[in-house]
Amino acid sequence: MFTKVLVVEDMDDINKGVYTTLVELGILKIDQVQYCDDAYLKIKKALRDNKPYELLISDLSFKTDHREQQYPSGEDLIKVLQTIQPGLKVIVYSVEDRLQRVRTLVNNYNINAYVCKGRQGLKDLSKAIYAVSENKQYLSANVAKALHKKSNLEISDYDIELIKQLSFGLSQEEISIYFKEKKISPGSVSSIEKHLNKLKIQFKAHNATHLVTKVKDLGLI
Amino acid sequence: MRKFIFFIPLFLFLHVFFPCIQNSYAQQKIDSSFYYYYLVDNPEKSTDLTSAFIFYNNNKEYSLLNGDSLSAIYDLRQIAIIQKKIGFLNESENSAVEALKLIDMLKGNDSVKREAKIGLYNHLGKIYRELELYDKALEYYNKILEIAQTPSQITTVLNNIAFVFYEQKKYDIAVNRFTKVYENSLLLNDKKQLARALDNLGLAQSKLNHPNALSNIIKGLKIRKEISYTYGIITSYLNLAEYYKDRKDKTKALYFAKKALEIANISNNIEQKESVLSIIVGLSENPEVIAFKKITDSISKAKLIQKNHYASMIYDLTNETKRANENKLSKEKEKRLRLLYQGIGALILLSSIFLYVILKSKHKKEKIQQVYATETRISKKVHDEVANDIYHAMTKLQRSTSIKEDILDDLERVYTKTRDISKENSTIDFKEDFASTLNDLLLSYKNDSVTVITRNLTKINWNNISQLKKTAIYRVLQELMTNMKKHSKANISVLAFSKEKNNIIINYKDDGVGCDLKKKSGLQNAENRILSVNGTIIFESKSNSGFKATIKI
Repeated sequence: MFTKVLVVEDMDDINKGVYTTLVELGILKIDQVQYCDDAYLKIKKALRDNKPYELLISDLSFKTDHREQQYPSGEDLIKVLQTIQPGLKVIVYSVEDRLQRVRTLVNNYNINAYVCKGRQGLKDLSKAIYAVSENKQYLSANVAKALHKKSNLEISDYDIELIKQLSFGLSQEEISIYFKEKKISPGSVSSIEKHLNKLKIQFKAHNATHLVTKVKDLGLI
Repeated sequence: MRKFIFFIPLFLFLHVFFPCIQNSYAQQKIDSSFYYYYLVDNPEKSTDLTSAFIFYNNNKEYSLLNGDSLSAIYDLRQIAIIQKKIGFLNESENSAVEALKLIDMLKGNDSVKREAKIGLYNHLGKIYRELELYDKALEYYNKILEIAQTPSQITTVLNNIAFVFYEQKKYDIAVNRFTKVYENSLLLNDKKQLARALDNLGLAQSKLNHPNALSNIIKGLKIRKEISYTYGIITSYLNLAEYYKDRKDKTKALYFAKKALEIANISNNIEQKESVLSIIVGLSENPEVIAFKKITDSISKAKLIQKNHYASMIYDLTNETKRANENKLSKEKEKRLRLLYQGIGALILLSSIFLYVILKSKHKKEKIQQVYATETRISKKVHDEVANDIYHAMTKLQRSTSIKEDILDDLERVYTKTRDISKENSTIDFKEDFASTLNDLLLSYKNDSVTVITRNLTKINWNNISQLKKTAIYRVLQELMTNMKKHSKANISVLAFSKEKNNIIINYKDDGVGCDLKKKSGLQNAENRILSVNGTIIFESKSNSGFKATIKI
């Protein structure tokens, strides 16, 4: 478990909740700041004192006020940390649940966890801290699909071709032969069957005929 | 010494006036007109010219009063002739100038104007020659050449021009010119003109001692005798007298001069008689007579020259004034035209500014209306979806003593809804790949009961699409998906993307219950968005056969 954690959060109520959670987890050194610029300075100082932070919990958006900030958003802070302390573990704790943002943060800045604020937020946060301490990635349930493979809604050319051949009245075996002729892979009967089953589920079809009808009705073939 | 020269006989434009005068007074006038016309041509008594002058002058005043400038012009011409005959050369010039002015003011009938002008120009030419203002005479003769039309007129004018050179003692040029006039006359088949040409040519040649001089003069005399042209015969005799006088043969000269006098006595034309006698006196050898004649000639000439300039200058001056007035008038016109153009320009400018302001304010109004519409939409949503739920939670709280789990659930639902509203209206992140932005949007509508499938979304090149169009597509798809989720009870919704030329086509279709297309505000909103970026959107739906939309952008 972590021993030295920095929390960047500008809302006092949330800060209190986070603090309680961290204390419950038995973390000894908890620093809380309300501006990214302060966090940046603290991290730098800790590095210089040779007592670096092990975990950063940060919000993404901060209310702007009279203080002019060099790093106005959590993203800016996370970005700059990549250069000054690349090994620092980062958990983003934000109300933002756009998948794109999550994906960008994970892919570009290698954040370790993304926790959405909400009713389950604090529970998720403690789960995330556990996971990160064990070098695992954690995403809140409602943004988990950001990195999911299934999140791609696109139906492939292969699937379209498969249903098309089916609509012509070809059996799976005949489609297999046809695919092999046309050098469309995979062409084996077993993989064709697998794909068909997947499509049936996707289109909520009871059998092959039902699938063809539905796909035709939807104008895909 | 006086020269006998053939001028153009006055152009008879009496005939021009006769047809239009029909009453009895006019009849009387015609009779007297003929009488006086003859009198001017052949004055016998010393009072003849004076009485003719009085007649024409009265006539002129009368014509001017009645606005009959045509007959006034004729009267003035006759007056000019009379004045010249009496010897009032500058008065004669004055009258001719006055007549020319009247012609200038006359409108229409170009041929009558031309004839009158030729006569007057010729008259003026004659006067200037007598005043030895040869350049001015030539100027007027050339004016005639500009407007003359018949060959006979042209030949006569050319003859007069040749005579100007003769009078200036430029005999070479004169002979040249007369030869041409002679050649022209041969073509004309007019014996009078031919005789005149021969006579004049001979006279000019005699000054150069040309061998044909005498024979040409005699030929001319012969033709004139043939046609019994008294005036011409007298001239021919006088020219013969001149010929011999030049050759110091006074006997022969006197012989021909006396022959001329004989004929002049018969015709009893005082004017001619005076001319002939003047020549006979010139041939006299009596030194006192010669001296007397010399003095009288030079005195009368000097007097005439002195008087002359005045009239001609007046005419030039009035012409100048007239031109100045015309210039002023055209300037005035130009000014008015310029003013008109400026007015039109100003009007166009003003109206375009006006139009611009109107359009701008209209645009502004539309913008404001759009903002209002958005505000209304959001506030309605907050009221319908959030406020009601909060109220519901509040009433629950009032009833129960302790905070229960289900109240927390209610509150969470409210929280989610507010987040959704915020998300719906938040800005779209264009920094990311638009295909994945759209994918995420569509993904958020996917759940256990609804499958969302896209086709070729990733194959579209979104980089060339403007941000405005992307925003429109994003919002419209959002609207369609929200609609689908709320009302359609659909299990599957498909979005097929394709490209056609420069347009992106998006086909939306679901297997829901459909709806009657009484354009709900959501769909209307979607349509407005697409139209605002010059796209089209077509909705198709029948109940129980799904909902379909085709977007072309």
